[in-house]
Amino acid sequence: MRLVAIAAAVSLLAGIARADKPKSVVERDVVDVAPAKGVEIDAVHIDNRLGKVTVKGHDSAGVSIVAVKRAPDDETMDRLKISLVPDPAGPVHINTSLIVVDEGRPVKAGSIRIDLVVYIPRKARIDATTWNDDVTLADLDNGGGVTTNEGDIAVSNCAGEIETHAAQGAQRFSEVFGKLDAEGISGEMDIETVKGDRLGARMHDGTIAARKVRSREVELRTTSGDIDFDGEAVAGGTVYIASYSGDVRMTFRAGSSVRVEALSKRGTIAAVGIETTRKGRRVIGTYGGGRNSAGVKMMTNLGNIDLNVRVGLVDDTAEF
Amino acid sequence: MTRCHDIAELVTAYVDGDLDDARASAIRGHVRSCSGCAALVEAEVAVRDAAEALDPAIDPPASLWDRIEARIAKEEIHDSRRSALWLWWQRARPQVFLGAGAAAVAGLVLAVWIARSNEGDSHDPTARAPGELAAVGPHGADGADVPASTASTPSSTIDEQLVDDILRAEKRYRDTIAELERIAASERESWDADLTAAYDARIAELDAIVRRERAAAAGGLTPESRDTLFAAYRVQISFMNEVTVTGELLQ
Repeated sequence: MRLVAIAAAVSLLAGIARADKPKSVVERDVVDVAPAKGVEIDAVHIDNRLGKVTVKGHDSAGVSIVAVKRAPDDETMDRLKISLVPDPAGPVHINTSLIVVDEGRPVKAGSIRIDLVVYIPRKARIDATTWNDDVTLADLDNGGGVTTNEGDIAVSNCAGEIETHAAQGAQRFSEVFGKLDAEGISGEMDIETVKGDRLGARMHDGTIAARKVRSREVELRTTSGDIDFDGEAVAGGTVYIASYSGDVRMTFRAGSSVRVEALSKRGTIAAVGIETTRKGRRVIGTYGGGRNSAGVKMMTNLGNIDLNVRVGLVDDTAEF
Repeated sequence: MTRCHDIAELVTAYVDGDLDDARASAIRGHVRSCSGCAALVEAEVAVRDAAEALDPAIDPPASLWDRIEARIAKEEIHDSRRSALWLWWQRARPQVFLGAGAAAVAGLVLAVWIARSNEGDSHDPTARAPGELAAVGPHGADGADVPASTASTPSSTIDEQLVDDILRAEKRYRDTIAELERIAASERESWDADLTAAYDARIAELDAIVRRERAAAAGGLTPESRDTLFAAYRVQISFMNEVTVTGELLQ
């Protein structure tokens, strides 16, 4: 009797050991959308709560979608849908979903996803939303909006008005020209080579590092997290850098003309290369002496402030 | 000595009161110390009670009993012609199943071990290295790129995961607001009267918006209601951050 039980156990173990890992089904779809005659695709809205989204501008007038779908089996794969709704007025809407089937088996968490790579006309404005996945924008000329709950955001070589929200995740921007507003609850922001009317970056819990910035209006804020700003104080513009508990550091180029006000309620304030006067916890200074100087305001409640002058231009990569 | 399989054979007669006193006493004694057989007796009693509660008007046709008897007789005849191996299997089956159950548990452990050891061999071109990104969603390819903190349990479904994600996301927003409220409470003494009044008025407005969106979502968060609610949280957080960090109204 025991021999039989042991034999059964051994054969069962052997069977399990030989069994392959469950294979998932992967499908790659490519869809091209050509605009109707006389219609220009001026906006693309993407809502993909099942995976990540990458959007790249191209010189064509149409939209190309490359979708990689993953599912545990064919039945579930058939339920993964990408809907494409071209609006006669111009915008194109791209949505993904898992079709609900009453008799369908419950889908295991993490077993499905749809990743999208979408090529759109450079002049089209993009709005992209994901749930817990990354969004990447590149080579776009008319800005856009990005929203993700937990995911990283990356924007490169884009122009126009760009607005991003990520509850949790890193946000990286490089070569953005125009107006950039980025906000997040938790994560790090890395900003490099941003020029234009405005740079706004707000992070509740995380750092902001901005380099090679030349925006007329700069506003960087964190509740907790250090802020580093290395850029140009544009004539007539404003730079406002504030943190509640983080350190605030700013370096601006020597050619700028600035009026500086720095306030640290409980930390230190250090200014190198600029004449300052202290009034209590506040330090005021000027640099350059031009008529149309930029207004710089730096403040932190609990952190320290450092202000430096750098010799070199904002575009001088050797200096930055 | 009365054993469990004796109870299984005699339980119907026992419940029906058809056993002699000696055997009934033996069964009662066994049931006192065997929870499994006690449950069997209870189940039999429940069946009997349910049968007694049936409407007496439901009277099956006499032909039904004839068919049942014929079916039983046919099966008994069939059983009597079975091989010795089959009879042996009937006796050995409980032990074999017990052994197979133990083997299945051991096999499961082995399978998990094998699966984990194979994870490092994945060649998924889209898979990210663990820890490559600061935050990764729960929908990782085959779960390979899901951080432990957000990984779903094997038994959870995508619907359950979504509910968990939404609750966690909302908690993050509410925790952030609570933290900013604490900072505002500690800083408001340094604000002037105009700023304090403006702050309180705006917060009251934003609270009302959040309450309204939460009420709208009370029947179950849809993607749309979720987005609207979270957008309301973001506006509130941005405003609170502005005032608590800068001590002034910038917008």
